[in-house]
Amino acid sequence: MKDNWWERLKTNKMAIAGGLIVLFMFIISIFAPMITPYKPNIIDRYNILSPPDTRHLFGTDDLGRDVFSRMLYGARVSLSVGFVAVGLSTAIGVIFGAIAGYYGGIVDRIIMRFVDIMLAIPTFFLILAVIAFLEPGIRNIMIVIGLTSWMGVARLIRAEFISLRNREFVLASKSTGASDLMIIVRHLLPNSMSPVIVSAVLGIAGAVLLESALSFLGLGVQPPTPSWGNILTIGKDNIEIAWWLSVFPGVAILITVLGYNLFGEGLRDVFDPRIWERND
Amino acid sequence: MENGLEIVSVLNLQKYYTTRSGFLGRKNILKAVDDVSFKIKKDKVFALVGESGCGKSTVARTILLLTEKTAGTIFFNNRDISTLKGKDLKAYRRFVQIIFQDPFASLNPRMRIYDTLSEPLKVHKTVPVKMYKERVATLLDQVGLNHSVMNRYPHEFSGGQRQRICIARALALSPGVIVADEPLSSLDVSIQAQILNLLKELKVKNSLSFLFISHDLNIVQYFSDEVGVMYLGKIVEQAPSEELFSKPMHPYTEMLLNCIPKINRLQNSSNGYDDKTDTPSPLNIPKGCPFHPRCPKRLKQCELVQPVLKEYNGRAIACHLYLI
Repeated sequence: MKDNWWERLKTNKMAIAGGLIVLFMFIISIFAPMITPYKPNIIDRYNILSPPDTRHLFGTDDLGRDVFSRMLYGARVSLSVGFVAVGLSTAIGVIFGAIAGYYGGIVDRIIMRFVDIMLAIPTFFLILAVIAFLEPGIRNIMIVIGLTSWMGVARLIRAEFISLRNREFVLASKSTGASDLMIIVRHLLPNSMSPVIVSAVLGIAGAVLLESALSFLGLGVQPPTPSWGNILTIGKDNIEIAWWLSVFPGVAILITVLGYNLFGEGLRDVFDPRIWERND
Repeated sequence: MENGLEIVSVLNLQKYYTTRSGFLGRKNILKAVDDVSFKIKKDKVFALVGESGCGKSTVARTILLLTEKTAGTIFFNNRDISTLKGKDLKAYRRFVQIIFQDPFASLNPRMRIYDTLSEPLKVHKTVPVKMYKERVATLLDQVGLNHSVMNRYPHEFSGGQRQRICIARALALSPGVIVADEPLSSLDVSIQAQILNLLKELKVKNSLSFLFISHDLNIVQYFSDEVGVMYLGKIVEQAPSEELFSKPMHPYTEMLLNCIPKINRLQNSSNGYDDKTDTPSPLNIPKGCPFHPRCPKRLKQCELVQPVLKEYNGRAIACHLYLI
């Protein structure tokens, strides 16, 4: 099981495609300074809103900044927001879900009602409301997205714990007198990680999308720091004369989100025992 | 009955579950274990037998403090285990260990055998960390497995080997009592014999007492000293093993013994026993003697009055036929 998940993943073409896209985005954001000759905020004042050519691969924006460079550096922002936000939300979700699922009873009911309340509030408007009070910026975006998207993970972990906590190997450990923490860390968590990994990968796609949307509205990453979302904002203002300002970041968001989704779905198939049976 | 020091004694144990049909439906009480008493004596094997769903496993889980009891007391060295705390509770946990039925579910699939077997040592700190490897090796020796298996994962083993590993885990803390909850019923017959002999050998070597739960009467006859027959949460007959098997008295015991397939019996005659009908649901236990709808010897009062467990010729029995 454990040793051949890689084998299973290799046969899933969609997952491989998704994984390659994710890997590609990583590489370009890490090596951004080596790929492009321009710094993202350098202004070429003789070439304002110039269409894509050999000098400016994706054209320039209304201040004459190179869109290609801005997108490469923007990828860094998008991915780091995605990762940090999802890391935070996964950590919160795992802690709440673990407590609810392991202890059950009244603790479980309180936590899960809280989850229901959080889910009842439309996340996007909640984020907008919170950002209105805080200063918009990369760090706040990460925290706010993380704090408002942990509920799914909490539910997953809780469900896994409920199905695992009365399994014999857990009872055996309990009957030797192992502490709750030991049982959770050694027995329950390692056996419930697969759905969490899948939801984290899919969650990154959601976070990237959310960050772009917030930046597009001017509530996310603040200019001059480049982000795919705020390049789109400039694109919106100049859509009749400069199509490249909208199309390239739009396509980049699309491909990235698609890549994470494909990769996440592929991982789900790999981890799901019911699908193994069908293929074996 | 046979003398012997009692180590764990169970007195009037009850475990009820309340279930609700629907959101505001009627409350139903499921009497999984109802007024069960018995003693586990030093170096002896007490067996609980009965059809599935009769509450045997619930008794085991309550003894191990894995399920909360509804009422009754479990004594360990004359102390009520529900009052044990801290060090005393740890000592009890150390002394009583469990082997489960399903060896596939009772080992953590993501832990190497070494980690599984050294976990009890870690919890109780009985040996210094440096000695873990040695101790695990000794444990594997005791259950007849090679030392090299400690670096492998559970899915690499067969059912019988896994059950050996589970036995080794139960032995890790040198316990005095082992609760074996159907330890053989998910194994092949040939493997059953091996594991049973292993248990018997370990029992003598390590002077262990057992609570042995099974529905396989052949195995119980071979392994146990005293037997309690459970039916729908109650013990209906309790007797020393030889006596029970040579002369079953309760009609239910008789029916169970009748069900053992025998090769040289010409016909599988059922002697008038209704062994085709299922056990009634424990949610809806028949009035009077719970066994009366299936009993060929029922009397009038069986349908009305519930018989109580009473001493009769050196055994305990709950049946109107013997309560004159």
